[in-house]
Amino acid sequence: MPITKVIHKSERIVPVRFARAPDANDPSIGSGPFGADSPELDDRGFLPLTTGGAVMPVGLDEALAITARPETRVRLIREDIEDAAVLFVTTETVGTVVVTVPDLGTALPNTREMMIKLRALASGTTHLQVRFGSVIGPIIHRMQVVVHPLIDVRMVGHAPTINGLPVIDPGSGDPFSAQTTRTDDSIRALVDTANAIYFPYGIRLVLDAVIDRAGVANLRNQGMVNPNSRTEFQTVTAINRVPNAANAYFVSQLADGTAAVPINTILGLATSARRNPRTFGLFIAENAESGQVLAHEMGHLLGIINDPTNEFLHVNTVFDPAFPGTGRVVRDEIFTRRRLLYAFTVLEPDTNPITHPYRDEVGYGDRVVGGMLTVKQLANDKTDQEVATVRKAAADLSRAPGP
Amino acid sequence: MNGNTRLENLLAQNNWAAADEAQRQGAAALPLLRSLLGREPYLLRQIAMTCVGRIGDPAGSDILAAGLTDTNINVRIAAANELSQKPYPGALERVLGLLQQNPDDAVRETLALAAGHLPSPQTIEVLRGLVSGTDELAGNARMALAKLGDPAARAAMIADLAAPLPRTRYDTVGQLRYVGDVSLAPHARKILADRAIALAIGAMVTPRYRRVCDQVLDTLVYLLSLKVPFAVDVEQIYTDEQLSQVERLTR
Repeated sequence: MPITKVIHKSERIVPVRFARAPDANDPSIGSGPFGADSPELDDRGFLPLTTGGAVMPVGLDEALAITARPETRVRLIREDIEDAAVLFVTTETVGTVVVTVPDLGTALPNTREMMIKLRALASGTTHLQVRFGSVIGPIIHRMQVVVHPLIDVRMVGHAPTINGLPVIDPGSGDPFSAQTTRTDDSIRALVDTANAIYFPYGIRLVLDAVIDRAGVANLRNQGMVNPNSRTEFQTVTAINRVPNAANAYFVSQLADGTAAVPINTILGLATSARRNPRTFGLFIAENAESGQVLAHEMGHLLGIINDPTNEFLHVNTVFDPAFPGTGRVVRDEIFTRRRLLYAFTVLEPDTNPITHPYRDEVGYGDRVVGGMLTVKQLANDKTDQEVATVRKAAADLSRAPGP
Repeated sequence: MNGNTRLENLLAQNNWAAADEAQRQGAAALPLLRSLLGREPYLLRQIAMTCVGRIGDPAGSDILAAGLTDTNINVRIAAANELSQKPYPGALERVLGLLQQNPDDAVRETLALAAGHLPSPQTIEVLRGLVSGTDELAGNARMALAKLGDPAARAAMIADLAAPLPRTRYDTVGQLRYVGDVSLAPHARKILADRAIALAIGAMVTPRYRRVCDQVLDTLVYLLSLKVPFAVDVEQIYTDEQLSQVERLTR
């Protein structure tokens, strides 16, 4: 019997489900760092009907020959169906993706967790289908696959010198440096991580070969840009600004040197290119260690959150004068914690770790937030369709602003 | 070094400064740019599309039309972006064909704006087939139809100037600049007093809010070519006095 489950009244049967595959070889591993080849699934329920379940975004580098294109992987997990059940994976249509693991016509392994790998062929949408018994057997599960060709976004890196009153770093006892101490390589490493997050969504940040280190600004505090000061933001983002590009400014601190905006609290800051076509830009502070921060700020630059009512600032916070900055938290469930535009860079430990230990680990490590952008538009969710929004903004970046 | 050699050198380096040089040379650079179709890397072809757009001569229509079916999306987007800026009649057939069948949403949405520069009965027919729905493609198709004088599209835009959601009124009055018809200015002026908050701009830690009236002012200044003694752009939040000045100028 493929499914063995005691049912007293009614029970939802989940024969199998798809999940992110952080490890390239071991499908039993459910947590690991961001990877261009291991996309996060938009698996928030079974709607809309056209999707019918989870959606997996896949990046497509059209400049590469098909055989040179990287494989994208996903896990299939047996929940209620026994390991002995013979399962096959097929694609709904031909020409969008090709399954490379398992081999054509070969059954999936008789293990609880199984690895599936595929290669993108062309822009478009199809479904992966899980079939019982044979390659033409009944479909017991499916997942939509959306292939996104890579849109390049030119990124210009700046490491300006910011003169002003020295402010002592309590950690070192020395003043914060006027210029970021990041090396070109460390800046490139942040961009690499951001690209790993964005690849499945078809966005690639192309950092200029030279990091601009020649800019100088005279602000209030040495090495600091005050995130509450529009003047300071616009002064710095005007330095050696390159049009039709994401100008990224790497600075020591995003703070004002007082308790109002304390040091080491704000890691990044950005403004939307669509809403601020003349002055948009982004900042990354020295204390941002993960490229996830750069990816998050790029999300803001590319227009998310795109709430027409201006209510949501992040996927989990709304505007409230009593909570300046990141806003008031209105939701904090697992899906939200996996999303790139979550307001915070570290997950707060759950208040009840005994009953909810899973809330602190959403697939990337203990208390690490995720990198998911939503593909779906769920009814009444003002923070959805993030992929469509960022791709449109990326495409528009190279266009001269209209009248 | 003559201009053509300079342009060739810049293109060989995949240097975006080629666009400035192409603009200096004008239509004389089109044969060189045409010769780059199909050449690798794709960045070269992408820059070539931008060069053609900078030149802005309808004689470059065939190059941009070819760019729309390039094997790389960055070239397709660059071509669509340039086509959306001004009329390239020679690209009409390709634009309409791809508007109806194209897997790249971002390209299709931009092509709808391009179609608004290309008046023809077929253009109207194709655009009318796209306006149902609430997505960006439908919105752009409506704008294009309005630009081409379609009464239903214009009526729908005018109706949206009174929509309940401020953001809808704000976006619609901004779209009138694309439509570019001075006869629509009176409709925009009717909501010059609309102070409803519509769009957060700036950094989210210190948001500022553009109101419907700020967008109306931008649109009136553009459509009527008004001369005002203050800076006008889409990141300004105007004072009551500045709004009053425009109100008086358009009375």
